[in-house]
Amino acid sequence: MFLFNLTTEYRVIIGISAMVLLFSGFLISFITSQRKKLQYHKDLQLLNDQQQQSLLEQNSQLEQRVRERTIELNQQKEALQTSLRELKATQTQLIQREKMASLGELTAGIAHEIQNPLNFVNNFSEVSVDLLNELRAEIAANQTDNLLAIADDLTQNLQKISQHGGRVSSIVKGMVEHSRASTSERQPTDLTALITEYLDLAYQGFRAKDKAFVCHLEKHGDPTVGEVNVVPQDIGRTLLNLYNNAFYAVREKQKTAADHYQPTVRVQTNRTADGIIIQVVDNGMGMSEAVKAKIFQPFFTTKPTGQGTGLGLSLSYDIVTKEHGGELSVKSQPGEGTEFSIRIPFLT
Amino acid sequence: MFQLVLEWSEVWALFLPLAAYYIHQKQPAFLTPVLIYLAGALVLNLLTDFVADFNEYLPEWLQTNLIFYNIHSIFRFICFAYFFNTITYGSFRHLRIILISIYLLLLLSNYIFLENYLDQTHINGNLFTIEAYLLLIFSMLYYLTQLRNDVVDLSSSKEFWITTGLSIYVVINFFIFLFYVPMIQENPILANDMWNVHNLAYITLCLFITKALYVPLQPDHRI
Repeated sequence: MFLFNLTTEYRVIIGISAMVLLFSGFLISFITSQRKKLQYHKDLQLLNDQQQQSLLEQNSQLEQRVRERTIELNQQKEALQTSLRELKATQTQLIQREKMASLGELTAGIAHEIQNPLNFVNNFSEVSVDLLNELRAEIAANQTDNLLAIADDLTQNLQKISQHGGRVSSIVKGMVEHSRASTSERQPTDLTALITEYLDLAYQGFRAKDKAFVCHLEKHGDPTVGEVNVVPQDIGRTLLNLYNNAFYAVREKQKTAADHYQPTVRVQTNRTADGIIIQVVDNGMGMSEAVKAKIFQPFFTTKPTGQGTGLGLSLSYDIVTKEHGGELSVKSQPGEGTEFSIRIPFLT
Repeated sequence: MFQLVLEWSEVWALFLPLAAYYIHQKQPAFLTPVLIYLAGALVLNLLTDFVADFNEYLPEWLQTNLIFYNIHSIFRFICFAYFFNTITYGSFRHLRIILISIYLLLLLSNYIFLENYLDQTHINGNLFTIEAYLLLIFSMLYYLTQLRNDVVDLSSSKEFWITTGLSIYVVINFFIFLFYVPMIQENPILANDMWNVHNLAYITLCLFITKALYVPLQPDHRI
């Protein structure tokens, strides 16, 4: 026999209680979890707001720093632009100075070149005066036999004076052109004449500074070179730089070399299928690889302070490569000598 | 005829999920207790209905099938408790242990104070009620877990369909089982009709399990 007997009323109470208990528990658990979730989301939102606020502050700081940095950068940019302008002005001045320096170096040679025709002009003028005196004496004596001969001599003298005067004029014209700003316009130029003329001028210029300096000059001009389209003033300037360097190198070597050493500078032209090659070769000091690597850099010089600007070869390199689309290369052996090669392509 | 079909529904309804399993044998590991239940329930219900309908051909000690209902009830609780333990792993772990302990305690208390499980003349409505109530709590815990985890698409999981089928079954039968004993004493016809309601709920459970077997496998489930 059992201890309890569940009546229907008890069963109703148990059933309802069980269900109420179950669903109440379910609802309480659900609501509790939802509240926790809600609280979690609130905390998350709060954290998010704080982070957002922090982010805004950081953004604001960052923008402020960017503004400050932009102002700094603008100031730096302006300073740099000013520096650049000054640098360009200085560069222009340096180029002009280099031009003037080369002109200075030419002056002695030019003076020597002018002196020769002037001597001729003076001599022929004096002879012409004598001939005129002779002519007057012949006329006064009524001797007409030699009049025509004297007149012919006078004519020849005047022609010589005119010829040498023309020579002086062309030298002065060349000097003016050399000092004038380059027009960068190519014109048909007798390259062999240009090369020879500048070699003589450079040599005379060098000798004017050092009377004891004697150098053997070799000119091997290719007769097929003819007239080439170049900017003569600029090519002349380039050649002058190369000649001066060559003379400087052989003179420096001569100071320490044996007695039988003969300074020699050789200039040679060759015509190829696509252009002209000009070679300036000396048997001077030569260059090390380290020096050779830097010689075309602006302001690099191996000469003592005050003797070189360091712009000569740099400008020459620009003239050959940029202005004429050619190549300027160098071969050198320390103690053996140096060979500069200019390749100027024909205009297509 | 319809009554006969309803009476044998506890047997044929089980063939629906079993046939589905035969077609879709690739099922996740957590469905194993449910599949074991289906197989066990088929044997038990077959015995139950066979004894009920053919008792005149059986020996005297096998004239009643109430013992099979008791075994079925305990077997169902074990299988589904294990199933819930697998699918809600990590949530309400202590509560699940407490629920199993409560079940054992109530099972024992009911046996000591209220019902003799071996009594072949007395249906153990309290035992079934306890089982239904605790399984309902397990189902509620599953839903609560899903709500807490903010699961968006509940119906895409197999366990949802099984839990829902079981919830429907136990909610309906909780009251039927609770009032079945007084009902059978006072109104046997109503009790018989109510048992038909139980059978319909059982068919619903089997249909939901069948549906669960057809739901595609979720990527996070292991076979």
